[in-house]
Amino acid sequence: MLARIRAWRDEVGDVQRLGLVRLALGFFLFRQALHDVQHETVWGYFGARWHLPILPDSLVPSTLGFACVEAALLSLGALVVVGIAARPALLLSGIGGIYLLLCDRMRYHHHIYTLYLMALLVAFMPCDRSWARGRRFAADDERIGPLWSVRLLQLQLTIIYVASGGSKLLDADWRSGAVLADRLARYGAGAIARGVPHFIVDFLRSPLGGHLMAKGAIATELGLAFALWHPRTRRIAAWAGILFHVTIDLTTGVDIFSWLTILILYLFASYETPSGSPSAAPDPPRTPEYSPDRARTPQ
Amino acid sequence: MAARPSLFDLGPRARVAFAALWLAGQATLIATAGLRPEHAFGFRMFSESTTEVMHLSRRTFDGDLVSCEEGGWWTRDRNGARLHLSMRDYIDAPELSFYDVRMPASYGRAAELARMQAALDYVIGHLGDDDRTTAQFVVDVALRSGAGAQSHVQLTSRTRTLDAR
Repeated sequence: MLARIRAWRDEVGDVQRLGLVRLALGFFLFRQALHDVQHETVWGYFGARWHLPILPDSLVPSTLGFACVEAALLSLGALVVVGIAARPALLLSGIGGIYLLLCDRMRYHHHIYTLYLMALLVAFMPCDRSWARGRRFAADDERIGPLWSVRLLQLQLTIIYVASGGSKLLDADWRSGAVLADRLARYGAGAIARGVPHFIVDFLRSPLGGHLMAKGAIATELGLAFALWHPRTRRIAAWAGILFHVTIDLTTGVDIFSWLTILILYLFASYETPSGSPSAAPDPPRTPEYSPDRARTPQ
Repeated sequence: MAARPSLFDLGPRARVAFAALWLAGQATLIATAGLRPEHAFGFRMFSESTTEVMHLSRRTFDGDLVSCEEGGWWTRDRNGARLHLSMRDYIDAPELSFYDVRMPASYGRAAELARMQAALDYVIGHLGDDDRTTAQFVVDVALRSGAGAQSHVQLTSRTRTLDAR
């Protein structure tokens, strides 16, 4: 166990693709801040209307304070995208976003919470060496970096799958397929509008379709949680997960949640499993003698 | 050029401490999600498919229970002028402000009822001089779970006194 913890803690690898993940995440952070501003412009600031704070009400910002937080979140999102001070910007985005969620539980949604959790974890990745400051590729001597936070982000997705799949498994209504069939009966028109064939939606709305879909969803979520960590099944599980989330996005619409998970599944698809057999992923040779101190030494 | 140093490049011990804190936090939030009505921070995706139809009534200071159409009601303000008010004047969440029509119970039955109770108490406390006739709101909520089970719950706001603001 200790050896495994040490291996996780000291693992290094190619950080080139982390820049892409950061860039996409920055776009979603900016988009969320913009959405908040648009919503409050139409409806008025939630703190001045009815709201349900999780924090004490005295910690909910004033209208001016909220405007400042949102302006900061917009700016931080832009900084994350362009890769300037990206890691501090990610950390502050995550803290600021979760703070606003705590100010009104009516604004709580799983995908927004996931977005800010991701921002907090990506802040600890060397994600600012590529696709940043107008530079696409990391310099040769910057390409290898620590991966401990990448693994933690991957573990976070596993936690989400286990929590989500486990809660469904323990719910008899969910297991029977009734919840999912009813949901599709109400939102199926949206799926058809997005291009899903009529006969597929009709089948999924039926009791048999709902039953199969519920069992499939539970098996997929719990199966992915384990298959993503197994060297032999990692890559196929990552692609199956991407297909799973694209299907959810087409049929029910879960805002950006699917795209956030696809970003993490991309990391599963492209980084080999720790201590697993070598994968065909385009990793450069690893450098066991790497140390952060060495990397910091000016050349 | 080598990678520039960053405060975010944690040392070995800090990495372990950070991860341990993170995982303990996640485990706690997921384990306690049931204590929060909407199961916030618990990742219980699509946990229910409950829908609801709400009907609003208001109890006047005369003691009468008056049915309201689509969440709106006529009242008199401080100057005696007749005024039409609606729940939508105070609450922007559609699932809490649209009455007499079937709506999805966002984040499930428990969340919906807890939010509705808080919303009713908020509105009754903010009627002020615009409404000098309403003492209390009563909402009948007909819920239907995704599995088809139906139930009925009646919620009442706190009672307002005429001097309340």
